[in-house]
Amino acid sequence: MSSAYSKPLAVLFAALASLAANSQIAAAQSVTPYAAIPSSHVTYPGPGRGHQDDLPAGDVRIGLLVPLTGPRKPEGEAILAAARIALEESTVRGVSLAIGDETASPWGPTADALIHLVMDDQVIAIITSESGAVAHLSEQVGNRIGVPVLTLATDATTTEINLRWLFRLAPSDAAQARTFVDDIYSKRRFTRVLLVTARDHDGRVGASEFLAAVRNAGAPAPSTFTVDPQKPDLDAWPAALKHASPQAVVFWTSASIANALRSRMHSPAPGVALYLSQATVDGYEEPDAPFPQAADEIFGSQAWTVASRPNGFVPARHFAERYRAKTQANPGPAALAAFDAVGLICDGLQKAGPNRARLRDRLAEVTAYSGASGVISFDNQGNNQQPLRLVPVRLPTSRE
Amino acid sequence: MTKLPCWLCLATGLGPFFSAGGAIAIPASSPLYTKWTNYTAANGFPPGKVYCVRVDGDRVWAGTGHGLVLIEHGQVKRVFTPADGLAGRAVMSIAVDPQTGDLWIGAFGGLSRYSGGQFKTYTNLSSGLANDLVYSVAVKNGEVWVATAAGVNRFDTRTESWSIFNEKNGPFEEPWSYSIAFGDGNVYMGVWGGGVIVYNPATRSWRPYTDPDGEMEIVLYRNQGLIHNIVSSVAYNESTGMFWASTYFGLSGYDGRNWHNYLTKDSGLASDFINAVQSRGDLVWACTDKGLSCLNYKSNVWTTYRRLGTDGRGEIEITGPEGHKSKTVTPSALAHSYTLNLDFQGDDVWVATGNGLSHGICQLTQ
Repeated sequence: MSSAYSKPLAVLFAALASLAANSQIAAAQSVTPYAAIPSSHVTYPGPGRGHQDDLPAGDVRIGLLVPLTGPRKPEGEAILAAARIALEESTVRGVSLAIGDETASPWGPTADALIHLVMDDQVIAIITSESGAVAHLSEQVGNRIGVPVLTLATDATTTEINLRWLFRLAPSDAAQARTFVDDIYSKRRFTRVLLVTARDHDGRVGASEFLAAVRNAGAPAPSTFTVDPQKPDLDAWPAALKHASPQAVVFWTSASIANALRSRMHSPAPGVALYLSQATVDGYEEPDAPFPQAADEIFGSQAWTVASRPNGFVPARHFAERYRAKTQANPGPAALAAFDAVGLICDGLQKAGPNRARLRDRLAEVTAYSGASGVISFDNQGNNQQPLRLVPVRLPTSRE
Repeated sequence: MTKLPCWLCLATGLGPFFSAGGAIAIPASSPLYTKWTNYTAANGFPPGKVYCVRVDGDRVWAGTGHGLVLIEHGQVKRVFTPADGLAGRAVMSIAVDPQTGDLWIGAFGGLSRYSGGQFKTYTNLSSGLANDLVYSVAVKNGEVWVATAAGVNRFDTRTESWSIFNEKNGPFEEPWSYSIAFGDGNVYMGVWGGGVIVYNPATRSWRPYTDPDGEMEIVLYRNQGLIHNIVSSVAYNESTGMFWASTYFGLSGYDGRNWHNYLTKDSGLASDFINAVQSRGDLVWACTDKGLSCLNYKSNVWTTYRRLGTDGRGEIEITGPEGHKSKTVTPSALAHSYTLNLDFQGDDVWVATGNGLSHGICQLTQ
């Protein structure tokens, strides 16, 4: 074929491919699917429930795979502190923590830490951090070996694949995105929005879900700013901010990156509303009283995140007091969820005994568990799906 | 109602398979396994799950949560553990190099080579191995292909050099890779999110096969394409030229032109949750969480093997092309209905189950 024809044909093929893809998407939205993940509770028909499968006598260990080095160290320390408080509060005796360090990259030593927790420490269950990549790393290990995994990640693809050993406590990226989009575009009628994401798995998933929610709302596409979490180029931030001139900035990054960027928001802030995904918030204070007012009327700032618990939720307040007493800091979503994850495991252990498969069965049945992060019920796929609402937050002082 | 061919009933010792819709004709190329020998904790085999099994002539290797097991002449000969040099206790995959006879073992802890009675282990720290979570290993022409949690490795045993394939240089959605198979000069990779990725080493070209509906939780149309983008296992059938992919959502086969998808709701498949797939001749085997299913692709007759209760008996369920089902009880059964892997020894099958290793003895010897 001569080159004179190849370009127009390529364009034609691309257009046809695009048409076909769009037809598939349209069809997916309008046609009754041939099959779907069953809506009944997912059961695990495999082995491991017998007493011969119980873990060795002695201390039962709960595995924590959390970042204790690198830029996400504060998240790991918060999870660890919350887990320790949960164990102190628990009436179940003979339970301890085994800790694995989730390093900056999940692909090397993190896998070894995971293997060590499962095979050597013989943990009864694993709690993973807010990292979606680490949740995915753990999901297949949990599935093959048969170890319950409770993750604080917001990546819903971890629970959309029919595996029976993964339970996700955090609100999904999609649910967060819908809540933000509703407030930004429908209620406040903002038109200039800047979406800030990290160039990693969680940033990609978060951005994808936010942009999908924007499209579904028929709202104008936001400006975007992407940060390499390994080597954040903060020098480009002021120009991006100035160019977007946003009424709202949505952060889907780690807390450390968001804090660094916030500290450089001298202009055009104040007056810019900030929307922070769960992983972006490393510690905040919620108002106790109901808050029909805007966030700036409560805290003097305009920062929001999401939560499922009601205003002034007593278990959250009690946990926050204990956490502050221990750490001199306010708990963030990761600490609240980690406290609940340990509580759920201890609660399950009371009924299941030291057996991973029986504990899995108990976790799958969790309904209306009153935790610090809210009232937890797992659906058939292991999602803790509670309605979300916006929560005004008092953020820590900006730091570099 | 017509009866089954008499030779089948005589050979298996079973009565004919009747269903409400009439007798189900089982093709001659579909063997039945009515006699099972099991290796469990009760007879000296390591307890718990068996993740993989590989037949090497008269020897059978099994990967368990307690190490690598060698079975010879129907006896557990030895259990190798990390103390012997094995990369990890949980063995996920075993491959035999047809040229050298070396054994390659993928474990949670790295990759090991067993040669001349010695283990040599490769880890993420000590070699070019992408990750120590090794899910699958295959070897051909001196090249070892390894599916890990951080991409697919190729290890050239002649030059001791490593290559890595992941989302940076291939059509991967994410690097988590679960399965490797060879066929027709290609390398078939079963990966998370990327479906089945076919790589041709000669041309260095890629061909990805993904779920066209793009949805994680649904199958839009029956034969839409690959059933789901998360592929637990992939197998290539040399005689038909088809590749098969198992997912946690059903079974997919591709003949080069059309897709052939099977779900429990429309076939004799025991469960949509499939841990592994194998294919040979006219047959496709699916190791599911609720039994071992075998499809005769030509006749569209399914045979599913399950264990019944605790008395050692089993059940064979035959599903005909029109969906009619027929069941019969067998005196022996798989060690557990949760099946994870399978290999062939002549006409016999070896099955890795959730509670031991099972040897299915083919009785169609006439």
